[in-house]
Amino acid sequence: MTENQPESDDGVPSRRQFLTALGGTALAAAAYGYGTDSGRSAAAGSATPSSTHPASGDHIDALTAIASAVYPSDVSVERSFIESRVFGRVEPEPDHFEKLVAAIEAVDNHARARFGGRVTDLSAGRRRQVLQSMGVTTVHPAADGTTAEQVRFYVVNDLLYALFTSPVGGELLGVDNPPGHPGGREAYQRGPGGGER
Amino acid sequence: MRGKINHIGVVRGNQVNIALAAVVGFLVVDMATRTATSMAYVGGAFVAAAVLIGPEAPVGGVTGLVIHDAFHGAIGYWTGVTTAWVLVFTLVVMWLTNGLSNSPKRQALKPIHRLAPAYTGITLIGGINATAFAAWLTMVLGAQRFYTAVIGFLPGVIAAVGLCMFGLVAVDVTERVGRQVGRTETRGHPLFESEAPGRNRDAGPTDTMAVGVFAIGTGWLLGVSALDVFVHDLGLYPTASEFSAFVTGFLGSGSPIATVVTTILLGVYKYGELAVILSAPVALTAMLGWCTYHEQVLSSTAHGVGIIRGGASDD
Repeated sequence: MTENQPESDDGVPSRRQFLTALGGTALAAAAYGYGTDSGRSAAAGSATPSSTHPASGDHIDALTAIASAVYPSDVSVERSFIESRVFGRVEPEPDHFEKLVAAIEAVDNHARARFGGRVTDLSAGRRRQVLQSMGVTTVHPAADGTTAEQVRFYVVNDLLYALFTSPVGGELLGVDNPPGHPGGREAYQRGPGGGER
Repeated sequence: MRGKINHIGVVRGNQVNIALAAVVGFLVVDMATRTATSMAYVGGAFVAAAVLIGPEAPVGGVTGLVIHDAFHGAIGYWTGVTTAWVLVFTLVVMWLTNGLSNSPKRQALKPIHRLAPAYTGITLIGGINATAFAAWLTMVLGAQRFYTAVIGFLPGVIAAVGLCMFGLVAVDVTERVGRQVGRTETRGHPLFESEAPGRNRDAGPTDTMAVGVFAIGTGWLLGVSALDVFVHDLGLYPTASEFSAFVTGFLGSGSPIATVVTTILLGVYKYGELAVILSAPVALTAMLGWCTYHEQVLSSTAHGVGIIRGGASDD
């Protein structure tokens, strides 16, 4: 039996083992889609969705609608981006997603009460008015503050974090490698001056 | 017996008016939500209607508001706070108007150029106090900061003043036209005309009381708004020690003035939120005290001034 084994017994991997491991790594990297994010649309990108977030489809739709009011007008937001970048990341603190969902519901309820429809039914301008009338635009974010401060902390800050840690947000800021996003393979192929290495 | 029947008739008439106002209020609130009009403007319109039509209008209006929010399953802090704002606004305006309509000043205020400034003042006093109270309530309910709620309600006060003036001018023009065409009988207005001549109603507030309520309300609104903004910005420092280190670094620690200022700022940092929360009980107590004891306060002040001006008193 030991005679048929091609591997050496001294613990050094054989050529076949090395090639198998290399091929597996390459396949995994290709499946992960490393370095493939590009374009002005905030799309799903590379994040793996978390399987345990409390948000329903309505919450994600509402947050996508709010994002269209919070983000610069030249950024188009896709639902998949919000789902993967906001709810798909590792939960920053315990119960963070529950409080985010509660803040989304607060905005949605306010929109229904004072603007005649769910936040998804309103135009981007009206969505901005919803946030203004809640006082969200004039307060500092605070996790344990008033409803407006919590909306600022959980909704607005999470949306901005998701945007500016994505390639699209990095482009807006002129930063190729924002914290949380290494910039993709292309970033490592450029020289210090921006040219090809 | 006849008096009892009349009383029942008046109550039923009020109920019908309130029901009608509730229907109108529901429709107005629904239109406002569909056109994204701030509810502060709608509330201001309700209060102006209280001046021009009667107190049933805002009562019915807020009833329509509550029904609207309940009907849409969207009852929230905004419902209660807006209702409180409209009702407090109306109560203060009615209280101050009562002082006008039950005194000889009413006849002097008959011309529109005197009536309009008087009602502008009354509506402003009511709006300032109602806004301060509603902002405090919003903050206590944990929905918004005091100053952001103030920003939300103040346009409603301006709307109430504007609509009230517009309505008063319109009533005046209608009366003048009516006199021109020979109709001598014009219907009296419930708030700025005596509703029931000869009926003994409560004496309203004096000018001194109104000025005191205006001063206390303005101090409450502006002072607490400024304090709330300051406290809110101090919250950028996570701990008192970090804030203390910043202030000490900014002012130094050598002079006694720097020590005093640092202590005061640290006190604001620690107890500023509490001061904002306690502002309403303090302001309401001050108003109650002023309305009850203003004569004693003023007479003692006048006596004191007299002593200072005239030297030692005889007694």
